[in-house]
Amino acid sequence: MIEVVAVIVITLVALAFIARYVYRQLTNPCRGCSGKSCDGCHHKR
Amino acid sequence: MRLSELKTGQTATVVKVLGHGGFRRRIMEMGFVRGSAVTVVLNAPLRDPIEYQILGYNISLRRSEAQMIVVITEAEAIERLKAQTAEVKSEIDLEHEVESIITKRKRHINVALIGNPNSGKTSLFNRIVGAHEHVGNYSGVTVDAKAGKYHYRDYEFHITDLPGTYALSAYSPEERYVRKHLIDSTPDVILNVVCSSNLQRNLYLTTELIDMSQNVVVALNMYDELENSGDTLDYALLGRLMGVPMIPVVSRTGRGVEEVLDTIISVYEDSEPRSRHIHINQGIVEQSVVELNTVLKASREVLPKAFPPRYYAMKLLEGDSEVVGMLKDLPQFNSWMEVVRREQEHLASDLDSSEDIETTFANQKYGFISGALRETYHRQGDNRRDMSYYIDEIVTHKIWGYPIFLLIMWAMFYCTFSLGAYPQHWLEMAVSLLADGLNAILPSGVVKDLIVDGVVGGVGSVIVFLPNIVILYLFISFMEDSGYLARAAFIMDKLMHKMGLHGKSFIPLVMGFGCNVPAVMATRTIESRSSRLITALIIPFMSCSARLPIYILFLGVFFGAGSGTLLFALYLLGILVAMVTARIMRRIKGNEDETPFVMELPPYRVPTLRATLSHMWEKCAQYLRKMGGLILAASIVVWFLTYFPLQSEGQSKQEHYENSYIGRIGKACEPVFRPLGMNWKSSVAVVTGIPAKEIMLSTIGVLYTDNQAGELSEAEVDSTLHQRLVSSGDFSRASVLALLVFTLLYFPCLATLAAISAEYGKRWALASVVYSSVVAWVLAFLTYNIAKLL
Repeated sequence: MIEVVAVIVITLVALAFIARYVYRQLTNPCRGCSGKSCDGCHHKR
Repeated sequence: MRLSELKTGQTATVVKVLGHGGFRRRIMEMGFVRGSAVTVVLNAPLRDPIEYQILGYNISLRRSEAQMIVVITEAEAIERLKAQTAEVKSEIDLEHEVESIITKRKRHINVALIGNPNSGKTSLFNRIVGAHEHVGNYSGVTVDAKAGKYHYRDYEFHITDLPGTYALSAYSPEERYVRKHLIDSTPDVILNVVCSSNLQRNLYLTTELIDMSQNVVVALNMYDELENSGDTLDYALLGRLMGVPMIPVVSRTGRGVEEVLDTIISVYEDSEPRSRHIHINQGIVEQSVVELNTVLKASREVLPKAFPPRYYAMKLLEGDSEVVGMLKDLPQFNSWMEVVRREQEHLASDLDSSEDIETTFANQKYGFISGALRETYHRQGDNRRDMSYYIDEIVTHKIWGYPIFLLIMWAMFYCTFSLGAYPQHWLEMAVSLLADGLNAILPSGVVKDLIVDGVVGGVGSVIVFLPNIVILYLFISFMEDSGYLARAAFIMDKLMHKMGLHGKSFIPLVMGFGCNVPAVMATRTIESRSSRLITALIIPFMSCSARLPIYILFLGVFFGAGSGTLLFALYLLGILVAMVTARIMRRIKGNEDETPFVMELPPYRVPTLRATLSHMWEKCAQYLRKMGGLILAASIVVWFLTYFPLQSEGQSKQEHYENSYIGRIGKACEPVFRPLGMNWKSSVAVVTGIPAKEIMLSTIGVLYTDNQAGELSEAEVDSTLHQRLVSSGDFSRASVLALLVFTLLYFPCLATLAAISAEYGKRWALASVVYSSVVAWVLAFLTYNIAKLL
């Protein structure tokens, strides 16, 4: 039972990470860092 | 903060005065020197001018003048102190600390790196600040300003790397961008990077900076090339003639970098003997410049302080739209324009019918440069140029150029596949060993399944393709750094025109093979808006490196020896779809792009080991970061959806999979993908690939970690993903081809969509999603049905 709860928590954290990635992509898209860090780098113009 | 931002009654201490020339001197003579306390006495109606008290007397400054003075208030100093120490002690301490903060602020030097495209600005930037920004031997690598800090001899250098530009007029986006930066940010010193092997053209920009009366230091970059060619340059004399210090630099090795920094300090501290302001005589137009300059000087207090009156005079005579825009709200504007019109009419009769004022300015500047170089530069020969000439004779040949280009591209994909196969296999074995080890060590249970099947199965299935990605980038970086990419753009210009695009569009398209996001950003260098937009919309069809592992996995498993060529064919299909799309869009948008093609052909250079390794490291680090972040998270979520609801008694593994959450999602998507020969697992993998294409592969990895049918032998269960895909019986060659075509063409990843949306608006991003998905489905359908017949 504890293991199942642990797995659910880990999955929720992973889901939150993906949601954060998607949110950052949509609100702060890369501003031309030459591909150094295209995954939500907050590079401002 | 700036002095203009202070409110009435507020007191602050002067940190430094920005700007240059007469304005700066005058302001400093009035007592606005470092450490002086200044108080706002009152703001005039309409908030201009503002009365200040300094050194015991009152003085009135225009807001535009006050904006050029950097100050620090006591409150600001305390805030900074609080950030540094927990408490502020006594008043004496405070005074001392404020003084020390002022001294520190005074030692901040804002430096702007300006130079022609491909003059090595970013290489020098990287060398100074220790950054790893992308560099290449072609124009237009930098499309945005990048900032970095460096501490040297108690000074803090704030360095901004700006896009390359040939001049500072208002024609191209880069020119406007750089000029705006000079106006808005008012750098203390400009580091003008000049390519030593092409002095005449590079120094034209220097003359423009001289006109602007900027504090300039010239870095003669790639000076070793000039020396190796046997040419000689008396750079000290050239510097004296132009009134700017010149320093030979080799960014690659770091030669001259310290001297550049020392010179920047001495220019900033007004102690550089080589700096003097010169006026380049404008020949037949000079008298008109002087006339207008006199009129402007009479009301210099209202002029924006970014540039001197003479510069405004020249630009008004030229009819520079941006400068006209800057001045048109000033009350004296109409009277100035009357003088401008009078002088223009007067000049019209003097100038050649083929010349206008702008051309005359350019001719005079080139004449000045030519004269200065005649005295200082002695050409002995240029072996590198000769070598470049002979190589160009072959690679840009009107017949051989295209096959050579295709051969290089084919070699790139073939090597990516075949050379990468060896380390890829070793990594697969390592991942397999790790899974076996964990299987043996960990006690049975949900957590073990999560680690072995979810984390190792998901991330492991993507990470094994790291060597292939590195090889692909090795080729791309070699093409960029050697100068071949610029040639490829040159030979492609005609083909691009047939597509209704511009030769300049080729560079972003090739960048798209690496990553689509910076490629969309790079479209900014294209002058015509319609060409910019069309290029950005076809970039997603350029297969990025994230899609490569999917091709390699499936081609390797199902096509064996012919995989390298098929991989090349896939990329060609992407290019073909991009061409057709561009042609259709050009018909809709109209107006063929007729902007002249000015892609420069730089001399060939042997890429340095440092630059190549730096590229490799960046890509590896980026790939591994993604593995440790997004791919790991996605693998865990996919595994969870595969694992739950838990397998009930009497249920076979196959039934459990189909009944799992992911199975249900897959089954819901399956009707859309069934006509393409794809089962529910491929369908769900395609859907999970939307945020990032690598997730598609990790999903496949998780879905095929286990012996789902429960019919395989123990040896087969422990085999690699390759073998599990074959033994699953889920794929035929036709369905694999359809899956790969769909992966190639569908839906650019979320990052690319966000980039298109940011650059061109949500409407075009949505259009890209719909169009690419429809095209992908139709072509995958055709591929599947044709391949079934073969």
